[in-house]
Amino acid sequence: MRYLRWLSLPLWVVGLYLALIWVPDVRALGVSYRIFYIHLGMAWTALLAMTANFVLSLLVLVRRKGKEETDRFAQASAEIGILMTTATLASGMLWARVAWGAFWTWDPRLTTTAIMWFLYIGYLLLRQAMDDETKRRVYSAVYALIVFIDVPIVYLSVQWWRSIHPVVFTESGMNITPQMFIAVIVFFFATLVLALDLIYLRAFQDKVQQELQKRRARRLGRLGY
Amino acid sequence: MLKAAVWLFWKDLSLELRGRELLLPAAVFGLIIAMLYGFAFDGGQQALRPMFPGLLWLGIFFSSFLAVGRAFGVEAEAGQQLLMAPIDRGAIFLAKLALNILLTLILTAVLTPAFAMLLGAPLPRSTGLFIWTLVLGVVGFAAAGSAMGALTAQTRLRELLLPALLLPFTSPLLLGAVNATAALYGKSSAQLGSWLWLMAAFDGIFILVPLLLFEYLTEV
Repeated sequence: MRYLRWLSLPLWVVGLYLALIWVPDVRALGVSYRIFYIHLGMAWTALLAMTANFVLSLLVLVRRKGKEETDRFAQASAEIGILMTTATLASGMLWARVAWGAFWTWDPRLTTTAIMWFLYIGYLLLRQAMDDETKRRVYSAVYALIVFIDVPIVYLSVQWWRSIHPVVFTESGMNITPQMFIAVIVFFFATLVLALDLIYLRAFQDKVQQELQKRRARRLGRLGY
Repeated sequence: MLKAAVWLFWKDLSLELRGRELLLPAAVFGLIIAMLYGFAFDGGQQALRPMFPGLLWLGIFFSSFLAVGRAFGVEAEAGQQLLMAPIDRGAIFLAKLALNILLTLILTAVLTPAFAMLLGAPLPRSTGLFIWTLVLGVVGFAAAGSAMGALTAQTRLRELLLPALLLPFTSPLLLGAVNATAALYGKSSAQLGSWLWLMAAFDGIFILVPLLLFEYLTEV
């Protein structure tokens, strides 16, 4: 898995080249729309990371073996998912300021993403507030399952809510040419590989930290503390 | 399972009837919120009337989470002796859920008329449908609150964590409740049915899923 990062870098270089230089401007939106490639790749990766968190949390509850390892990866994928969601929101807000004239609109996707962000921040808060390792593992897994079910309901409700209000901004004019599609896909894989690499890195860091704490405790015990 | 749940429910209810630890502070807090709305939004009743559905539901949600979070906290403070009882674990969750539903229903029955009077709201077009809206909204909040209460009962800073988890989680319910109420006060109630269905689905899902998952929490 350590070779992933050597794959991530060239993908990013190629992706940036495609998105910033190779693909022509869209007439209605000018240069500003180019942030869309980064935005979309990160948004998809964020959703995949949350799905991974759901699957791993399910495994933590159901499987007997390897709970610690699975739990580490569940936490890491939630963290990287939050990172990607934050980047998605930030890039989207920057673009919205230029294209729509406001940083924030109550568009269903924006609103759902923001609520998803809060829900997974809650996942980390819950983990942080529990000292017992076994309990933290199971409780946060249960939370992750419940929250993952909630996200589509949030999306549905926000969509209905907006359909009642006048629609100010439509998403027309976003037809994708084959050229754009290639750039989107390359950038998606660039972010996906980066996210996988980061998830492995975080899980590894966690493992090392736990191991260090254990050894330190043992050593202190030997010294008579 | 049901029999044990009924006994546990009775235990918690008699605790509450003797101590009045949950309902009274929550109801007072709800009334204070109504007063504060008046101050914060420049009390003219004409101005507040169109906002009534939103203000009412925020008041109900905010004062309810004071009550629902405590249900499992009581057991955590008692050292979880309940888990030694030879009963189905689901019964514990059902009993807490039933208590939370009852408490929030009473709370809503007190707060709704008070809010309507203080904020100058007229009677809704259909009282029956209004009561359905209230019940569906409150039951869903109590269900989600029981689940999140069970999850946070063992944590440090329980009272701080619960709203941070519960309020974003129940946002679809808030949207459903506010819009259903607005439909009952506005000109058209075309959307009312779908909002009620949305709330009913939320209620069903988040009673069933935590009930199924609760056993995992009691095993560790």
